[in-house]
Amino acid sequence: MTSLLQRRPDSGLGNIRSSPSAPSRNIDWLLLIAQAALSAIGLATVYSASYTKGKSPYQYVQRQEVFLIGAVVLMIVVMWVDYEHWRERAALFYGATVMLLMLVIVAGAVSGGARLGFDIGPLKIQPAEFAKVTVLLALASYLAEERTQRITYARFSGGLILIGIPAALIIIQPDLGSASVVVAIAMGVLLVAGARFKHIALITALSLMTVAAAVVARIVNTYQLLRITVFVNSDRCNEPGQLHDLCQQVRNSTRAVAIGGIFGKGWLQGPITNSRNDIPVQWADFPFSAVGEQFGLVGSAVLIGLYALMLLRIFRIAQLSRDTLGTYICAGAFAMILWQVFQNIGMTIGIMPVTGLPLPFVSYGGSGLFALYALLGLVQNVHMRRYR
Amino acid sequence: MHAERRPLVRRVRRPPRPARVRFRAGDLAGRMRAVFVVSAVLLAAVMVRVVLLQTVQADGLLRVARSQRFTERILHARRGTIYAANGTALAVSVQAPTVVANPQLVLDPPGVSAALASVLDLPPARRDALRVAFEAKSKSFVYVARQVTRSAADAVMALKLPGIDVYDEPSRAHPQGALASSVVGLTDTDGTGISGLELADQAVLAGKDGERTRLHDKDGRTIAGQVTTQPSQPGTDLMLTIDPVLQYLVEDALLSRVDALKARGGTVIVMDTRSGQILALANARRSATGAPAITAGNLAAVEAHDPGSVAKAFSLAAAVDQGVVDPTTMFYVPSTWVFDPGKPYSKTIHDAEKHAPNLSVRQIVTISSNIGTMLIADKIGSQKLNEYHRLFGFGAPTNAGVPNETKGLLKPWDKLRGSEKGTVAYGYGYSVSSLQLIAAMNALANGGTYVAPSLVTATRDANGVTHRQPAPATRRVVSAETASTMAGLLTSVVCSGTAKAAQLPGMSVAGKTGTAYKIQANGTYAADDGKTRSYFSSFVGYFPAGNPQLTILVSIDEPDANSNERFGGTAAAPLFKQVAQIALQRTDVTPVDGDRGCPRGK
Repeated sequence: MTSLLQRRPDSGLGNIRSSPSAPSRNIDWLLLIAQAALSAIGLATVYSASYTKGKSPYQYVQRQEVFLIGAVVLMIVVMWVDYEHWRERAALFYGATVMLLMLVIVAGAVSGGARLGFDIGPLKIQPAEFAKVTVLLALASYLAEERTQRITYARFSGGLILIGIPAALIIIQPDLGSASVVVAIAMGVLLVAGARFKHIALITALSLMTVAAAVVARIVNTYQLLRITVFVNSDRCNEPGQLHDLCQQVRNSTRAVAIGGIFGKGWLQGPITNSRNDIPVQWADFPFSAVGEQFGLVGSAVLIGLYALMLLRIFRIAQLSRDTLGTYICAGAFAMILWQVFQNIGMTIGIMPVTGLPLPFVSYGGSGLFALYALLGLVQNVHMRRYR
Repeated sequence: MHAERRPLVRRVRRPPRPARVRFRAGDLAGRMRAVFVVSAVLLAAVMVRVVLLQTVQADGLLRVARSQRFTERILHARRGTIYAANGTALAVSVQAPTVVANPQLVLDPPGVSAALASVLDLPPARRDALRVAFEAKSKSFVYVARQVTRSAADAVMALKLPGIDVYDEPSRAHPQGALASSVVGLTDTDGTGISGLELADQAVLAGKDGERTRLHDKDGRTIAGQVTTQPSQPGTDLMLTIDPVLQYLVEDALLSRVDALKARGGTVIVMDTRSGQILALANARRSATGAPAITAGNLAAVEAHDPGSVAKAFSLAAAVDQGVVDPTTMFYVPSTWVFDPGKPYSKTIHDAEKHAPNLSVRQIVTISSNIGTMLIADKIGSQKLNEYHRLFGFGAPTNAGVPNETKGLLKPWDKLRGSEKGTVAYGYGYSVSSLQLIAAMNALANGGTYVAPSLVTATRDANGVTHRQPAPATRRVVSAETASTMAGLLTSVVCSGTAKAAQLPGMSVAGKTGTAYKIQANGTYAADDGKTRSYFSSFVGYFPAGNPQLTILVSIDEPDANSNERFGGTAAAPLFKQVAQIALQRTDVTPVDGDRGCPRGK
C-alpha cells in the first residue's frame, strides 16, 4: 500500500525522469482519492435525489457531470502552477471578486427574494462561491507577508477589512450562509496565523453586529429570519404558511435519515427521498437526507469518514507546508470544508438552522464544485511543492 | 515582637501584583491542536446525532412519517348471515346510507340543521345538537344520521347542501323482522354484536376487515402504483336450529298468553329430544309501554329462578334410579312439617292442599306434595341428590352459545343450611335457567341420557365450505328403566294430576308443573306484608310419553297474582298444549302404536 502511494526515492524507474521532490511526484493521493470518492457519491446522490423531480431523470446529474469535468480541468490548472504565482495574482482575483459581488447585487438574477448569481445561458454563476476561494487566497497572501508567528494589530485590522468587504457584500445579497463561510475561513486563517483570542472574539462580535444591522436595515429578507425562528422556537411550526412549510422540510429530512436505519433502504429505494417532493431542492440543499435514507448509518459513517479523512490530510499538509502561506491556505480550506459539512448535515438532521450551504462535493451546483476543486487544487499545490 | 515584624508587614503591604492572566493564543502547534479539537467535536456531534436518529429514535419518527405519507381506508368485511334451519335469512348485512357533515363547510347552521331534521325526521334535541356542532366548526366530521333509508338519503342529497354528504356503510337488516330476536340478538350501529348469537359469535361472524393503503404526496395526490390493498375476509355464516315458522307461531302464542295473564313475561322453548337442537326459543317481556314484546336478549339462558315443583321430577328420578323407591312405595306424609322444632329459626311448611296421610310415590308426584317429595329424597340423602342435580346439568352453563349465560346457583350439599336440606328436594334453595331446566327434563325424555342444547347446526366460511357443528356432548344421568318409570309417573301428572290442561288428544304427555314463589325485594318469598307473593309458573313436558321426540318448556313470569290462572297447571300448561299442537304440525313426530292419550273419564 505504501509503495503505491509513496515511492522511495531510489526505487525503480521513475527516478530516471524526475527528482523525488518534483511537484508531480508529491501529489497527496489519499486526499485525491477522498475527493474523488466524495464526488462519485455526490453524482449518485444527485441522481437519486432528483431523478423523479426534474424534466428528465438525468437533468441534474448530467449537468453535474459536466461541471465535474470542468472542475477537474480547473483543478489541474491550479495544481500545475506554483502557488507563489497564484499569491502574486491574489489581489487581481480579489478585486475581480469584489466587482462581481457588487455587480450581482445590482444586476443579479432574482430568485427567492435574493440576488445570488447571474444567469448566463443555461449556467447560473454564484460569485459568492468563488469568493470563498479568492478571499482565502487574498487573506492568506496578505497575512503571510508578516514574518512573525503572531500578527500585528495593524495587519489584523487589514485582514479584517479584506474579509469585511466581500462578507458585507454577500450579506447584502442576502446570503447569510455563504457569509458565514467567509467568516469561518477568516477565523481559521487568523487563528493559525496567530491572532489573539480577543481578535477572534472581535470578529465574532463584528459578524453578529453586521448580521443584526442587516436585519434591522431589512436587507435580510423575512424568509431567512423565519428559518432561524423555527429553529429556535419549534412551537411555531404549527402556524400555517411558511413557518409550517419550513418545519416540514426539516422534519421530512430528519425522518428520511431515520428511515435509513443501519443499512439503509438501498439506492433509489428511499420512501421519502425517492418518491415525493417533500424536501425542496433536495439535490442541492439536503443531499445528506438521501444518503441517510438510502445507505443508512453505514453510508452516513462512510461519508462523514471521507470528510474526516479529507480534513486530516489537509491538516497534515498544513503542518508539512514549507511556508506560512501554504499553512494559511490549508487552514482556510480546512475551516471552510469543516463548517460547510457541519452546517449542511446539521440542518438536515435538525441541529442547525436551515441555510442554503451546499454539502461539499456532494451537493448539486457548478459554482460550488468549481470553487472546491480550485481550493483542493491549492491545497495539493502546497503539498506538491513542500520540497521546493 | 512588633518591632521585629514591622519590616515584614511593610513588605506584605505592597505585594507584587499577580501577573495578569492572558489568554495566550500559543504557538502554531498549539493553535493547530485547537483547530483539530474543534473539528473533531463538530464532526462527532454530527455523527452522534446521525447514529441516534438511525437507531434509537428511528421507530418513533418512522411511525409519524408513515402516518404522514400513507392514508389507510378500512375495507369493512361483510358480516356473516344468520340463517334459520330452512335457509331463511334472519340477519343479513346490507349497505345502508349514512348522512355525514363537515361543519366547516356548512354555510347556514340553523337553516341546514332544520332542513336535515325535517327530511330525516330527527328529534328536536338532535337538531339542536347538530346546529351547535355546525356553528362551532371545530370538527371536520360529524354524523348527521346513520343507516337511514335510501329514499331519505336521496332526499338529503337532493337538497345539495354544501358540507353534507352521504356514504354507504354496512348495516344489519332483519328480513323476517324481529323473528327469533331472542336467539339472534342485535348489533350496534357499527355492526358489532351486542346480544344473542350476534354477540356470542361476534368473532366468527365479523370476518376480518381489510385495508387499502395509498402513498400520497404532500398535497394528497396518490402516487401511481403505490396503492396496496389487503382485501377483507367475509365473516362466517351461521345456520341455526330454529324452525322459523314454528318460531313465529310460538312467539305469537306466547305474546297472547302473556298479555292475557297480565304477566310480566314468559318463555317458551321447543327442543328436539334426541339431538338437543332448539327448534324454537322465545322470551317475552312487558316493555316500558306495557305491551309484551319478544326480547332481544336471551332471558331463557341469562336469568335463573328457583325451579319450584318441576324439580320434584329430578328428586324422584334420583330416588328411583337409586332403587330406594318405586311408584307404589307408600309414605306417611303429614300435611304440615316443622323444621328444627323448638329452635328460634324453626320453620313450618305445608302442602298446597290437604291430603290423605298415606300416599304412594305416584300420588305424591301427581298431587305435587312438597313434604312427600322431601321424604322420598331423604331416602338417598342430600349428597346423593346433589350428585344427581349436577348430572342433570344444574350449576353449570349449557354452553349452547348464548352470551352471558348463567350457570345458576347450586350449593354444595354440605353448605345447605337449615330447611334448605329439605327444600332442595322440591325445587327451592337453588336456581336454574330455563335452558338448564329443559335440558334436564330432556335427559328424562331421552331415555336417561343428557344432551346439551344447541342453537347452531353448521357454519359456512368465507369460501362457501359448510362445517357441521360437532354433535353435542352426551352423558348418562339415570338408567333407561328409571327414565321409563319416570315417563309413567309424569304421564300421571298430566292425566290425573296438576297438569290436566296439558293433555293432548290422542297422545300421552309426560311433564311436571311448577309454581315457584319468586324472591321478593326483602330476600324472602313473601313481601313485607306477609301476603303479597309473585309467582313463576312453569310446565316442562315431553311427548309422546312412550317414545319422546319433543321436549317443551313453558314458563310464565309473574302471572296476575289474584287470578286463578297463576299456577303452573293453569298458567303454563294450556300454553304448553297450544305450542305442542303447533309443533306437531311442524315436525314429524311418530306416534306410538296404541297410544290414545289419557284414558277417558279419569
